[in-house]
Amino acid sequence: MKKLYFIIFLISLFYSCKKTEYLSYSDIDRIQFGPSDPLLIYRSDYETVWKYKDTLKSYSFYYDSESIRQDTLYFDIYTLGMVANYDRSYTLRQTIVESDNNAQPNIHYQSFDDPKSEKIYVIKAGQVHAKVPVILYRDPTLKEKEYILNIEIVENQNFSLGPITNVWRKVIISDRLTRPTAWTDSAVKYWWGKYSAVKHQFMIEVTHQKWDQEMMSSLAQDESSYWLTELKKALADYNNAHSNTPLLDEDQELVVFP
Amino acid sequence: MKYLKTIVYLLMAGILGYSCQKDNNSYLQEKETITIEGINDTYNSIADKDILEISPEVKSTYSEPEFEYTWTVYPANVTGEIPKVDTISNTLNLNYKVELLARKYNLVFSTKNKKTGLTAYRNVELVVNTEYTRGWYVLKDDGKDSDLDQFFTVNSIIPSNAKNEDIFSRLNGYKILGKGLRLTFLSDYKSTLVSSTPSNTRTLFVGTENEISAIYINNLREYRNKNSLFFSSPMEIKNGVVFQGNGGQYIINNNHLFGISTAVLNSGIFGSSAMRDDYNSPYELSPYFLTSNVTPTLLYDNKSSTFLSAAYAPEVLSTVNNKNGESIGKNQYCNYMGLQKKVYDAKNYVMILQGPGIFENTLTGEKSLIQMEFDSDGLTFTKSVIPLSLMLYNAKNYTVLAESENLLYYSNGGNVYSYGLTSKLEQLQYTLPAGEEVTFIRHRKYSESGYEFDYVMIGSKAGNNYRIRMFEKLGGNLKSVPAFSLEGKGEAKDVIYISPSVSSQTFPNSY
Repeated sequence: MKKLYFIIFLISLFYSCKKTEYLSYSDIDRIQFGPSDPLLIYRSDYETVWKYKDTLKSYSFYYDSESIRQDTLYFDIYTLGMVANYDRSYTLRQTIVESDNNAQPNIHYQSFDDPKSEKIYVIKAGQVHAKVPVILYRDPTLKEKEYILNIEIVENQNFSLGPITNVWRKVIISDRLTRPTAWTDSAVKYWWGKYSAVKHQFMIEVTHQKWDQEMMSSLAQDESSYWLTELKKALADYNNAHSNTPLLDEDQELVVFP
Repeated sequence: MKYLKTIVYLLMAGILGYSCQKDNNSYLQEKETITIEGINDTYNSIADKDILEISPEVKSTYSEPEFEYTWTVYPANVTGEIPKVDTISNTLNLNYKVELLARKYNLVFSTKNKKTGLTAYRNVELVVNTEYTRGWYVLKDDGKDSDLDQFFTVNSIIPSNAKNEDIFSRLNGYKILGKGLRLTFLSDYKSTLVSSTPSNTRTLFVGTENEISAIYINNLREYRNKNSLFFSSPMEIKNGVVFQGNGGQYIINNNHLFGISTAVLNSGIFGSSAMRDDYNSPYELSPYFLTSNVTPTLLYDNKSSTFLSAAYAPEVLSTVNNKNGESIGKNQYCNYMGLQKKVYDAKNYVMILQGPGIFENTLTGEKSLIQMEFDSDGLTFTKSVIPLSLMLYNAKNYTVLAESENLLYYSNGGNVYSYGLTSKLEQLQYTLPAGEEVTFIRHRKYSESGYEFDYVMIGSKAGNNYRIRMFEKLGGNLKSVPAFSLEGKGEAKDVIYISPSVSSQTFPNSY
């Protein structure tokens, strides 16, 4: 009996040295939105800060000439799972939110189920990432108010979904001045103060800059400081010249910079 | 079974026998020590010219060491960039042609005993120069445009015979627009000249009546000017003055203050001019000021006869609180302000700036000497009318002795005088030869070993030539003859000494 135990012991030693198998992905292919710079996901503050930077985009035709009747906004989408050697379509749809002024398909944007959209929502063969074009139309109603396009990914024959927090995006469409997303609460506190369309228009007129998302998101600290002083001077000069009618915003509040 | 037991016993005996093998390790051996000799604390080299040769001697207390060697070099005192470490040799003896940008480096020699793994190293200073990084620089003009002369100092502060005449225009292909005003050196001014992100760039600023030129001291190339120094460039320059102050780097141009806050990341581009107040009232700053790196800069508005202050490149200038309720009076024009000394008030934890000012009533012509004490809480001053009988009354080219004797120097005609700020005594210090005219007076001190000086510098012109006499002092009075003179063509407006050890704080930023 002892001999048997000894032999089992020796066999077990050899068995324990068996080569470990590689870990491999065995889930189905999934798809989700992500940041324009994929390296951002390695930042420690990605989940709390950077993840939400790309979720909301504003677009206004306000800065474009009247001849511009449509434009395209882009998000980024990523696949999870195996890379395929063929093109794989993915499916988007508009989510209607009752409290929002929802954009209307083929009036404010090119509908995702429009035949023209079929070929553009595709992950190309060998790719894991694609730019998601959202084609926006310049409808006259955009001059009167903003319209909101809530987008979500839906499952199809090629892809299941990633985490629920990664499958939606939102676009605010207008043809008038809108608050750029770079005019954050932090920017309100440290740079530009409370947002108002009157203040925004004043900034554009006195600096001859667009003050749109692209311009504001690219400002370095020293450059922001430069513009803030320029704006304070311009506002002081305006109010000096209109001592009885200082600049008021659309809510009849005094326009000020912090 | 018996057979099996025998095998097991034999195996156990073998294991026991093996475990009892004689231990030859000497656990009582002394701890190994590696010594490195033959390396100096500092090395100086000229870039692209010198070969750095060092032959260290390495010893170990280990009986038969087997060493490997590494020489590395990386920039010292780095801010705004991650220093890049370069391995320059893997041999004991270093024979390295210095091909580095001119700046200070850490030179590290490390050696490892491969048998024991013990490593020792020496970290010493390597100062890389170019021919432009050390010497006297004279700002001069031809009555229209400005240029620089460089005087070499080889082994002492006394210049050798060699000099680089008109070195700015010879290297850049043009002169600096306008008559010369002032030289300022900033070691921590930011640019992307030497790195991809803004980092410290040792820069000599030349201020003239019509231009501000930022010159990289390593190669004397102008890399920014009125067309690129400001966010709102091109900027029209009228009497440009550059200085370092509390939390900021500043330019006074066209009587307005432009700043860069050094408290935030910056690119070295100057912002918008500061507002006089929240109403953007007009103002006309004097080019004179008191400043230090720990106290707000004291400025003066000639338009409103008001003292103002600035710290951290503000959007709006602060009106200075007159602590004792005094007023400088109306229509007071500032002819001069200068920083005499900084005094730390340990009781109130504040640094006090002290210095004199010369003010003139633009309506009556009355002139006053103001002695100021300024700290972050406000200003106190005493004001005394300058009698007509003093040469001080119609003086020019004022300069206060900084962190030195309690004297104000100035010129009147071809004579140079001093005025005791405590004693109230005026004294003739020097008379220029006939035909010479004073163009500036400056006091600068410097403490680098082997190059130290404490000079009152009197610039003069005679015809189309300048002479700058460097006077040592004795009890605040000039010695009878200068230690040496710098001479050249043109009209000298300022002189500064530059070396790798000179930083933004070496010389008073005030006049």
